Amino acid sequence: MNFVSWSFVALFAFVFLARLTIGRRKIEPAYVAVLVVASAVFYAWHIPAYLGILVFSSTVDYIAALWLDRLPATALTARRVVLAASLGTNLGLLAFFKYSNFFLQAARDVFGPAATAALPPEFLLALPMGISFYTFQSMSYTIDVYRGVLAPIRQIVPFFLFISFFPQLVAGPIVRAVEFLPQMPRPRRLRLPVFYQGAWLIISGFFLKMVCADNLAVYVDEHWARGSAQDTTSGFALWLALMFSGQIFADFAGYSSIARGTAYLLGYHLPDNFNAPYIAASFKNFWERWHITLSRWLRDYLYVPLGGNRRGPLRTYVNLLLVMLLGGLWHGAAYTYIAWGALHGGALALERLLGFHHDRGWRGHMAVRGTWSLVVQAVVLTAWVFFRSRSVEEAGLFTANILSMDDWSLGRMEQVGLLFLLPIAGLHAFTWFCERGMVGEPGGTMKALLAAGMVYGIVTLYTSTADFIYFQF
Amino acid sequence: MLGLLIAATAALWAARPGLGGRVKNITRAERPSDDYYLAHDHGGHVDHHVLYFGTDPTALEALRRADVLLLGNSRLMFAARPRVLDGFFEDRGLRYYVMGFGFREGDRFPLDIIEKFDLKPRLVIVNTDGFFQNEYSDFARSVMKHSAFSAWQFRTEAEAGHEFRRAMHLLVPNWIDLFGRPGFGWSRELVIYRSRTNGAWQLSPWEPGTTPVSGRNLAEPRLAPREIEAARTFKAALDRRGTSLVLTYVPTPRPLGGGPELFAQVLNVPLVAAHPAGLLSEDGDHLDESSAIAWSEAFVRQLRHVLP
Repeated sequence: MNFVSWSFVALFAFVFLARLTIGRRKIEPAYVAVLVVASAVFYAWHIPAYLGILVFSSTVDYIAALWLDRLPATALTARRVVLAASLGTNLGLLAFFKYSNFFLQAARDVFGPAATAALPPEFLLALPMGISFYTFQSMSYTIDVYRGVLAPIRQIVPFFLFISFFPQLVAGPIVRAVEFLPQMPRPRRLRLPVFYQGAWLIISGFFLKMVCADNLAVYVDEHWARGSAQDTTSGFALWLALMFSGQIFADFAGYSSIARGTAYLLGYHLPDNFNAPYIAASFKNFWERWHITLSRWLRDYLYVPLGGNRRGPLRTYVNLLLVMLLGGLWHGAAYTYIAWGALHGGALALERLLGFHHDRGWRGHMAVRGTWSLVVQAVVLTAWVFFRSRSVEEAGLFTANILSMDDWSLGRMEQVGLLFLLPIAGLHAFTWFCERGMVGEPGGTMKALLAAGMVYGIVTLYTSTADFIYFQF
Repeated sequence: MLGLLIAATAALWAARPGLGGRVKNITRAERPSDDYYLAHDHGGHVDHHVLYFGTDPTALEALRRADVLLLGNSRLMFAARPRVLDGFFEDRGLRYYVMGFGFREGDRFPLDIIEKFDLKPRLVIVNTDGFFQNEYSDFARSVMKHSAFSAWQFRTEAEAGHEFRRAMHLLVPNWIDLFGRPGFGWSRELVIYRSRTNGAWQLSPWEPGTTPVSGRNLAEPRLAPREIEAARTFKAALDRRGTSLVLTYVPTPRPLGGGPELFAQVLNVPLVAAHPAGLLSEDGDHLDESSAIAWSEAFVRQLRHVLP
């Protein structure tokens, strides 16, 4: 189910009514049951049969965690087998739905006609919505139980709620069990400040999605192919890249904001997922601001187990590259995503090599930091070109058009399109000033005025809505 | 604050000369009759879903009973006018269905529908403009991954959104729909209904055009091998069903490719190339209503000579 739909409005109204009546303390079993059923409806709304995949993978993890808890810490082999079975199930489902066509095509490319005849044709299967998100969430639970940092949950209904909680089910934030499970037995009444904060998050999320992202998408979808055309000017190609960088931010940050707002109104706190990533002064800082919950996941469940930065500089660079390559693949099975991950991984490694991941000594000088920030944002922008393009070749031509620096002039269409980037630029500027203590958080009245302005913007500037970009991941 | 903003807009809307006179399409849109269902508006484009999943039993039945199918992109859908076609086909005891699609749809998607519902029309008429590609549009690809259940959802969402927007925009406009988006021909709001019985689109409202649709040399110098192969594949699929093929061409200043005369030669099928003078378009792409009627009249005048 898409947040921008009448079905979601109806579902949320029903669940919120339950919150106001049978779930006033949030922990009432009937309310928990309503949340679980609503989450199942939310998920099944996409393709009902796929609910079975969610239930199956969750059940495997639920049983695996209980089993791990029973096994003594000394039974290392048995514990590893149970963990491997759980991770294998999750990753196997992910691999089948997400990567089978990619690998089949790769085999055809490598082995030619012989492979084409022997291999099955392309699977025309819809990807289960949000499979990458709930799989990672579920895996973190089993891994934490295996590591002994979390006791398994014994009741299956609350466990399903953790996995399937509908505000964050299909596109995050990726919540870890240690963050979510302790909230479940904790009563939380819905008070006015909570309502205001939830409403604020929801309104700003819908504004980002329906006004910024959807309008930017109109330009990007219509003109993206022109970015790699021979006669395209640098100005136009750069404009397109900026429009997409704005679109993907507004789309994903908008989704996360709606998710956090709805969860807040329903009694749960979800972690922040975005913090003005385009003001990041380093690649490391970018990943502390962009898709924060995925970055944390990759760090804690991949980078650190690989050795992190504890095994010398060379191994650190390799680890960074590997983690980001897998991060790229997580988004989808395409060479463009791999290139996107490689660019980020390479940049993180290079930054570490040059020592720009911190701002000690001369590297902290304002001019140096400012210059490095520009480098960071230029690479981030280039990486978005790869992310959006249909092929690495197309992305290469697109980037070459920007670098040709032939003509920076923009027409009226482009200038009008830039207006939809203004709220995003404003949000980033505000965060930049806020972090430096130059302005404070807006007060209640200011937020109310801004919220009214955003609602007005939503009803007067919305355009045909597209699915959230991250639904496909 | 929100109330103030809405009240201020409503007051400006009503009082300001020039602005008050402009009325939004959505508030003016009217379903021509019960025979028409909503195919497209801001709430959603459900045109592909309805026919691909057969969610409208009346439309599906009409499609199955059609003797003649007209296929092509949105330009054909604008151009094919039932007020001309109805009488022409009725006089010959034939039932027709206009089964074109927007989103620059080519040959694969309609062919899939023909095969999926085992349609056996006696004649298929194709607007060659960008048709023979052996490809689906991106939109069609996404639709095909859906199910009948999601097709129902899309349709319900679109209908709900349509009705909500009709009420909301009596108070405040959507500024983009009202003034258009620079650089986009059809950036203004487009509300399309589709006939269940003959598949024709009806825009509501449909503004008169001002851009002349210039002539075009129908005999393009050459066709791409891929286009020829796609055309042959398409014809072979029709041959297997015992269906004849006729080609046509809807004039447009921005053709998507595909020279009608060469296709007709390559496939050895008749070509009905109607191009009456004085055609106009509002967006530079599609005919306006009076031009569409003129084209349909010229089309049937020529078609009578090639009907089997």
